[in-house]
Amino acid sequence: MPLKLPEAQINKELAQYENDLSWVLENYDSLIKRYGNKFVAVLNQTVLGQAATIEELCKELRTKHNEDFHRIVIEFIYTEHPNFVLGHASYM
Amino acid sequence: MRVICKRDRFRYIRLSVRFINEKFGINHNTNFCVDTGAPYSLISYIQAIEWKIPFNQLKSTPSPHRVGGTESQGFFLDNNKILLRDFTGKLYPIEVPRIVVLGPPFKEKALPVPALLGDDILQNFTLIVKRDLHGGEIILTDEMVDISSP
Repeated sequence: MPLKLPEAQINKELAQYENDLSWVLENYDSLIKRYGNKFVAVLNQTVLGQAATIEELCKELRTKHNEDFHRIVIEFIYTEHPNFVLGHASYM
Repeated sequence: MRVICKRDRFRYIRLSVRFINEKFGINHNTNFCVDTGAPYSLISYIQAIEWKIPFNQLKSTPSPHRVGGTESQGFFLDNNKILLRDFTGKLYPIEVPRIVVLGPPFKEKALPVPALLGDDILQNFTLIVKRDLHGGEIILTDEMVDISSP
C-alpha cells in the first residue's frame, strides 16, 4: 500500500474504521459468546477472522485480505473486565 | 477541532486514528485508549505485530515497561504522525516525534494490553466528558473550553 494516499481516501477509510469499532463495542456481548478471549478482525461490520493469537490472525488476514489489512479493526475480546490499571511507570 | 471518542464495555475511552511511520511503511487505522494517567503514549505489542515493526531495528528503552500488570521491554519508534478525524470529517495531523512500542510480554499468559494515548500527546488537548453523555461519546478538543460552573 502506498504511504501517500489521497486525504479523501484516508478520511473515508478512517470513517469506516470508526463505524466498525463502534459496531464491535455495541455488539460485544455476542462477540464474547462466539470469540471470547480471542482476537477478531472486523471490516464493514463483518467478522473476517478470529484466532487465539495476534500472530495467527495477522497471518490469515495478510493471506486473505492483504489489500484491506491497514483498515481492518483488530480487537482482543475480553470475557471479563481486564482491570488494567492504566497509567504506567515512567521509564523513558 | 473536536474529535469524538467512544467508551468501550469496560469504560475505557477509545480514540480511532490513522498512524503513520514512513520509515517502516506503517500507514494503518488503529485505536488508542485515552489514558490521562499515563505519562507517555504506547504502541501495544498487538500493533507491533500488525504493523510488522522490526524490533531489531529499534533502540531499546532504558528499562522495561509495566502496564496493566504486564511487563515487557520497550522500544523507541521515531518520526511518527497521527491523523485525527473530527466530527465534521476533517483530518488533523499530529506529529509524534517519539513513541514507545511494547515488545512481547515477559509473562506468556498475560492479557493483551491496549495502545495508550498518554500525556505527551494529551497535554495539547482537553477531554470533555459531559454528564448527559455518561457512558457515551466523549470529545477531545484543542479549543479553549470554559470550565467555570454555571
